[in-house]
Formats: sequence, C-alpha cells, structure tokens
Amino acid sequence: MNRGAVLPAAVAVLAAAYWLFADTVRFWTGAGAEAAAIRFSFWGGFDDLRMWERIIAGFERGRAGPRVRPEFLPISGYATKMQQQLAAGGAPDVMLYQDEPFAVVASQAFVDLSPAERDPELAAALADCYDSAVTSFRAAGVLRGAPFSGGNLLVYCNRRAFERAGRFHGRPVTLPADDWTLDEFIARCRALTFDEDGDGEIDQFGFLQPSWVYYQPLLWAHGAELLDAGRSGWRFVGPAAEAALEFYQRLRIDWRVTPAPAEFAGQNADTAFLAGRVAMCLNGPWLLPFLRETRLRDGFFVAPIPRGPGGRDTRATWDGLCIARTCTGPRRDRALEFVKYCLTPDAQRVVAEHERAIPARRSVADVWAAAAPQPAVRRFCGAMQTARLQPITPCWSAMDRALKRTFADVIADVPPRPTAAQAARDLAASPEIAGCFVPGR
Amino acid sequence: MFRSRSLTARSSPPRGSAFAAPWLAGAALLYVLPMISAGGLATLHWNGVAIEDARFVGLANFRRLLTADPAAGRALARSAMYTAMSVPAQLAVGLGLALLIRGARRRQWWATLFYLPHVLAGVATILVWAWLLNPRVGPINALLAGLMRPLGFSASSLPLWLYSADAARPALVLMSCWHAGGAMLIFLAALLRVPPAQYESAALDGAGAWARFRHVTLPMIAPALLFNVLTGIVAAMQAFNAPFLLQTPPQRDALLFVAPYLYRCAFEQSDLGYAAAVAWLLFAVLLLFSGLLVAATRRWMRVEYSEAGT
Amino acid sequence: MKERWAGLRVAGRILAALLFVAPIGWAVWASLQPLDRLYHAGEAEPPRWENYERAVTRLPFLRFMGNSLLIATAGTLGVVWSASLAGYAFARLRWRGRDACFVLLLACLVMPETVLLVPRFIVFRALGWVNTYKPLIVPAWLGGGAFYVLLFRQFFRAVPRELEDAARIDGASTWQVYRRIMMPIARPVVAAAACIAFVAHWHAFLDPLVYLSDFRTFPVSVGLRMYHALEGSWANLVLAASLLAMIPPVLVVLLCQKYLMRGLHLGGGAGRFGGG
Repeated sequence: MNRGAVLPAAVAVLAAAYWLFADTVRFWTGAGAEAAAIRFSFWGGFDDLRMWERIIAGFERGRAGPRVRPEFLPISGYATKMQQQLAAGGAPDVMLYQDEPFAVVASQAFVDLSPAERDPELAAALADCYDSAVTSFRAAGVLRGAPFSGGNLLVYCNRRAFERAGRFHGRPVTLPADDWTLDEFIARCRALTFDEDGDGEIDQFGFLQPSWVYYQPLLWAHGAELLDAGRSGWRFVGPAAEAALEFYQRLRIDWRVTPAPAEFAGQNADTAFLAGRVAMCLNGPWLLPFLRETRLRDGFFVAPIPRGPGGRDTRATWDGLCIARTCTGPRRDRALEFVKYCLTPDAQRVVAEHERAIPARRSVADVWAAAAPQPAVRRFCGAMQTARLQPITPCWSAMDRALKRTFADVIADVPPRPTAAQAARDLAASPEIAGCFVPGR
Repeated sequence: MFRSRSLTARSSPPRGSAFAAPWLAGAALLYVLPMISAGGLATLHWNGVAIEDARFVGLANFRRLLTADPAAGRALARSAMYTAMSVPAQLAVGLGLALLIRGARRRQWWATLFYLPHVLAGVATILVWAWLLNPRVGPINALLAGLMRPLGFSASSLPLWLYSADAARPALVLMSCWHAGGAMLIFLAALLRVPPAQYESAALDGAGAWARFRHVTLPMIAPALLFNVLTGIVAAMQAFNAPFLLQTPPQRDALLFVAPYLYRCAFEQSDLGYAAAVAWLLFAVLLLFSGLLVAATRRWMRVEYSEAGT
Repeated sequence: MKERWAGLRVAGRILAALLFVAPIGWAVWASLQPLDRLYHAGEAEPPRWENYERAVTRLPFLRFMGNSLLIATAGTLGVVWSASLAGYAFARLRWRGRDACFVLLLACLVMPETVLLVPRFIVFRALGWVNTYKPLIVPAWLGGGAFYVLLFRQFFRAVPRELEDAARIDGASTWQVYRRIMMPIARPVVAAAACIAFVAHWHAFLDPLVYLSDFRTFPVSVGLRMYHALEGSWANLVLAASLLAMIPPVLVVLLCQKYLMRGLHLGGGAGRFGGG
C-alpha cells in the first residue's frame, strides 16, 4: 500500500471507531455528560413546546446552576409512559402531570412539598392560585404537586350556524343569555338542527355528544353526583342520576340533535364546530387558539353551562408540576427552584400569552382576562372561580372504563338499548364500581 | 499504468474476502446474530430495560401466543385478509398498466409516471390518502356521492373508509393499488422479453386476443408473476406504515395487523419476549406459505413452459 | 381493427394517467385552501400560499427535512460503496467460503424484516446506539442489504472478462481493477442503486420510530406523523407539509430515471424486443 496513504487512512479508521463506539462505552459505563441537568418532561402540541421553551429560558436567565433539559413527549399515552418510567426507574426529575393520573401515583412517586410550602414566596403564590387548583394536587391532604395551568368547560356557540338556522326557520335563533336553563338549551339544540336541502341528511346539528368526562357539568346541572363528598361512596343512583342519563340519551336518540358516528366520521370536535356542522359544543380554552387561526376568528360566542336543578357549575381540570422522589440532593433543590419559578407571575404570564390554558394564579388570570380582546377569555376565567373538580380517586381508570361503557350503551345505535334507569342500576352493580366504591343510598 | 505501487510486490492472490468483509460483517451483525438471539429472546420475559430483569420462562410465551391470546390470532387473520385482497388487486393493476403501455411510443415516460407513486410510498403519501379517503372532506366520497345520487342512493350508504371497521381494509387496498408501479415494471420487463414472432404465429393459428394472452403472454410472464406474488405476499403480511398511521377508534382494531401488533407488544407494552414469539409465528407462517406456493406452482410452470414451447 | 385497439389503448393510458395523478392534484388544491373551505362546498378561493409557510414554521419542518437528507445521503453512499465491493467479490473474485456466503446472501434476501425487528433492537441497544442515527446509517455501510449486493453482482458478472484481464496484465491489483475499471462501467447500476437506496432511506419510518426519541432528530417521516398526531385537524397544512416531503424522492427518481429503467431491464438480455 502506498506509504503516503497510511496516515490519512489511520485517521479515518480512528474517527470511524470513535463515532461507532463512543456511545457504546458511554452506555455501559453509565457516564453522562449532563448528569447534573434537571430532566423535565411534558406533553402537548407545538404551542406548548414553545411556551415551555420560553419559560425554561426565563428560568435559566440569571439563575446560575444546572440547566433544565426539556423532554417533550408529543405522542399520546403520556401518563402511561410516565407510569412505566416511574415503575422501571429512570423517571424524569420534574414532570408535568394532569390531575386525573396524578391521584394514582402521587403518594408513592412524588415529593412532599409541604416543607417548601413554608417558603413565603411559594406560600404567597399558592394562596394566589385558584382553590380548586391547589386542592387538585393534594393527595391525602399532603401537597405533592404545584398547580401550573388548567381549564374548564363552557358552551361554544358558532354564530354563523345560528344565523344559518335563523335563515332556515325564518326567525332568528338568539344566542344564549347568561342565565339560560336546560330547557332553553334543548330548545336551541332543536332549532339549530335541520336538514337544509331536504335530501334526508341532516346538514347541521345543534350539539356535539360529549364524552362522559365532558358531560359532567350537565350531569351536575341535573343534580346528580358520581361520588359523595368523601369520594368513597357511589352516588350515581336515584332519580337525579337517571334524569341525567336520560337527558344524555335523548340528545341522540329522541331529539337527534347530536350526530351519530356515521354522520360524524371524518371530523373531530374542532373541525366539526369550525365548519358549523355542530352549532354548539362543550369545550375548554384550548380551542381558542385553534379557532383564532381559522377564518371563524370571532365568529363564535361562549356561553355558561345551562342552569338546572343542580346549578350550573362547570368542571375544572388542572395540570401541575411534580418532583419525582428519585430526584435527591442538590438536584432536588434545583428542581424545586424551577417549580417555584413556574409559579411566578413572569412564568404564569407566558401561559396566559399562549392562551391555551388558564394560569393557576388568579391575579395573572384576572389581568389577562381584563386585557384580552376576546370576551371568551373573561368567561373562562370567571367560571374558574366557581368551577368544581371531578371526583378523582386512585380508581379513576376503572371508573372511567365503566362510565364509558354505560354512556356508550345508552346511546347505542342498535337495540337492545338500556333505559336510563336500567343503565344506572347496571353501572352501580358493575365490577369496577362495586369493587372500588361503597354502594350508595 | 497500473504499476503496483509497492516496491516489494506481494503477489498474493486477490483477497475477495476483504472486499466482501463489510457485507459479511453486516450479515453477521444484522441477520445471523439477531436470528440466533431471537430464539433465546422468545423464551424470556423481559421489558428490555435492564438485562438483570429478564426472566426465563421457557415456552410460556409460545403457549400464551397459541392458546391464551386471541388478539395475536386476530391480528394474523386481519393481515391474511388484507394480503388476500391487496396482492391480487395490485398485481391486476400492475399487469394491466404494463399491458397498456407496452406498445407506447414514449414508453419510458409512461413507465416513470406510473412508477412515481410507488416511489412515493412513505408517510407523506399515507397522510395524503388519509385525507383523500376522508368521508367528509375527501374527493373519493364526493365523487362516489356524485355518481350514486342520480342512481337513487343516499349519502348515508357511502363507505366511511377509515372510520368504519368494514371499509378500513378495502381503503388500504385502494391505496396499495396506487402503488402498483413496482409490479408494473417487473411485468413490463417480462412482457418485453416475449418475442413478437410468438404472437404472430398464434394469430396465424386463429387465436383471438384472450387466447393469445392465455397461451403466449401468461406462460412467458409466469416467473415474473410468481416473483410478484411472492414478494407481494411477504410485503403485505409485514405491512406496518399504513395500518399504524391510519388507526382510528371507530375502526375497532380493524387495522391491527401483525406488524403493528408486534410493535405494540414490544415497544408500547414493553414485552419483548412475547413480541419475539409473535415474530416467530409470522416467520413460520410466511415460510410455510412461500414453500407451498413455490411447490404448487412448480408443476404448473413446467406445464405452461412446455405448452408455450410447442 | 388494430387502429381501434390502438385508439382505446391511448385513451386507456390517458385515463390511467389522470387517475394516478388525481390524488396529488387534489392534495395540491386542498393544501392551498383555508381550512373551513374544505368542509363547505363554496365558491373558488384564491390560493393561500401562506399555508406552506405556516406548515414549514409550525413544526421544525426544515430541520426534519435536513435530518432526512443526512440519513438518506449517508445511507446511499454506504450502500453504493459496500454493496459494489461485495457484488464484485461475489461476481469475479475467488475466495474461500464464497459459495457458502452466497447461500447466506440469498437467505438474507428472503428473510422478513419484521421478524428481525426486536432482536436487532436488542443488538443495537447493547451497542448503545439507541437514540442515535447509527442504527439507520451503519447497516447501509455494511452491505446495505442483499438486494443491492445481488444487483451489483449480476451486473459485474455480465462485464466482459477481457477488460479485467487486460488490466491485470498491466499489473493492476484487485483494488485498482475495481476502482478504475469496474466502477466507471457500473455507472448505470450505481445510479439505479443510489436512487433506490436514497428513496428507501428517505421513507424509512419504522426504524426511526423505534430508535429515536428526541423529536429534534426525527426525519421527515416520523416528523409528519408527529404533526398529524398533534395538529391533524389542520388538513391543509398537513397536506402542504406532506407534499413538500414528497419532492426530494421525486427529484431523485426523475434524475436517475434513465438508469433506473435500464437497470431494471438489465439481466437476461431484456430489451431486445423493443427495449427501453
């Protein structure tokens, strides 16, 4: 071989060997360049990614110390993945967690934040948060997560769909008033559902059949409850529960104001509302950025939950930051610093600017609501004052399965379809419910 | 010009193995080693994280696969049904296109045009087709509605394609027909090898178009046909991208084929041992089927060849 | 009679061509519409070119394309290098174990990839290569797969021996024969193999899905899937991004079209009867 070619060839071989095997060595010796960085995982869309990048940048600016390394998990199944990582070891240090899966793992997996509560800054921040926010992240009375942002559900109304219905009927269909009742809700649903060209296919529906989770505000409006105050007794029995189930059923079966799966295929809640195929739907503040980027822009109206015998409370859901127990020592202090930063007005203002969720701190939310050109924002923030929490327990996923099944059966296309009373009884007797909760009344 | 540069000309014989060394290393690392470990892997219960956690369970994975897991059997059945529909459809379209452009003047351009969709077979194309097949937005249903409405069919009888359990697989078959360009090229190459003299003599013997096709064309392209059938079956049974990306809840798992099911077992449920057992099942099925097919057609091909020769 | 057939054939070809191009045509139209226009039949709208800009900026699309380009280019170079070496070794060189290795080669050709997915994952994990591009690129440099090796072997076997013998008489070593004689002649096959390898690497989906977890390293295939999962409501933007992702493979195929057609007709004297 040519003598002059030996040196470059040797360099090439060494470089290739390094590229190929450096990771191998690193893998087996466990050496990590960024061992000190705080791993922070979160889910969401591209907007959430940008929001968190801004917040992390704000945190690292002027705060010397280990960096925060974001782990963006855009694919669905976040909670499952987190659970797997918590079980296998190797969970991130700080995790964004929703209140529903939080209840299952909180006591075993997350750090008790009560000592940190004594910190005046954090205590003030927590006092400034909505009550439901802080309550969401107490497990057995102990604070194990810091609330960060959340949302609730209100009734979106598509103005153009209302106008279209008005043209069809020859008289206007008015937008809901603040104090509208369930009966007025039904009347509007029925007025907003019609077959425009007479071809036998309904062109516009009044409402979108919600999942049981989204149906809770209407369920509460009927005076029904799922669990008792202590969240151990099953309360979804009796006339109020049956009325709530029957209402759900009549939406699809009797009044036909919601599209069946075959009539709905190919769309999701966002695009069906945007296109005006459904005139009203129950949804949260996360729909606002989507609508603003379409041509609907301000062509919608947000109404409160219709009033019923049980009132008109909406349902609140919260996301919070939790520190894993496996994060110890100085890294835990740094993680805590990051969590505290996320509750400062600066970070909360970033949440408000991205408009997908309501910041946990009331003061920031109020300022945002007052300044926002979009009246919907004011309504969402206002509703948060009185919003109720879902009855979240460690048995959430079993309860979810049973309720999903019941609510699907009740509006099944094909008979046999249970009556509301039958469905409520079957639900109370189902293994998931009977196994988790004390039978009620 | 080619003076050996080294002064001490080592006249050793050419080291072919040195040339083949990269491939050999690759075959060992990517084929031999995995196959060997696949056997062992199927006997473990392991989540893939730390080797110490792996538990030896013997044949339990296989037992579970064959007796206690209807999901795996159903996944295999779905794959088989899809293969049974898509391979004939794709070959028919490919053969049809090849016959169509065989005599064209600018044949190469036609071939390229129909081959391009085959080249585009990736995630981007799948997403485009997802929207094409969308019951609300897509032009396919719009076209069907336009055709069916004058005939009296209402819009509710239109298939929901990817949003129904029954029409999901036909939707995938439709998409795979668009990718028939690869099969078309193989057929085209085989068709071009048929000497025109054979056609002329058959025409002189009084054979019509269909008879000419059956007795001249078909035997000559039989090897290409067999090749396409085999590769088509193997590819369709392992289809992953389309069924994985196009899953929707209304389908109720109609698109949970073998490869997505294997992926789910291995990487979503973290049960690597069981996934390896599923892989072995797939391997056995493919081997069995390919062997049967080759054995069955060997006789047929020999007969056809002798027919064509006379 | 023949003219009628010919006329029908031309009509058939045009119809087939329209059917095949229609999906892309619709996708282009839909990508230029505002979102609500897709759900309402209405008057024609002026095309919204800004959809493409939005699609490219909402997600790190250019980064995804760059990643894909990197993987595809590195993979193509590897395939061309290692498959041609091995093809030449199988075609022209005599070495111990060649026939056994050829059987192994054929076995690799027919082995279903899905079966090897999980064991290969274990192997790559043991090498510490999970979360890097190495599982996607290194196999290309180690032979690239039996298909390409066979392609090169088939070609090299058809090269007349006189060229090689002449070079050897002049004192060329095997490497020089390979580099100076064989490879220049093999340009058509190289183009065909490079084209197929580029497209295959560009469209790789399952492997990047399994091995990559940091979304910034995603190639465009996994990136599009992420976009579809996160913002699939935006049909027009997703279609715009998908169409952009289709451009590089199409360009490559159009560039190498001549060699591809020739390369696939090679082998067995095809093309004698009205060849392409």
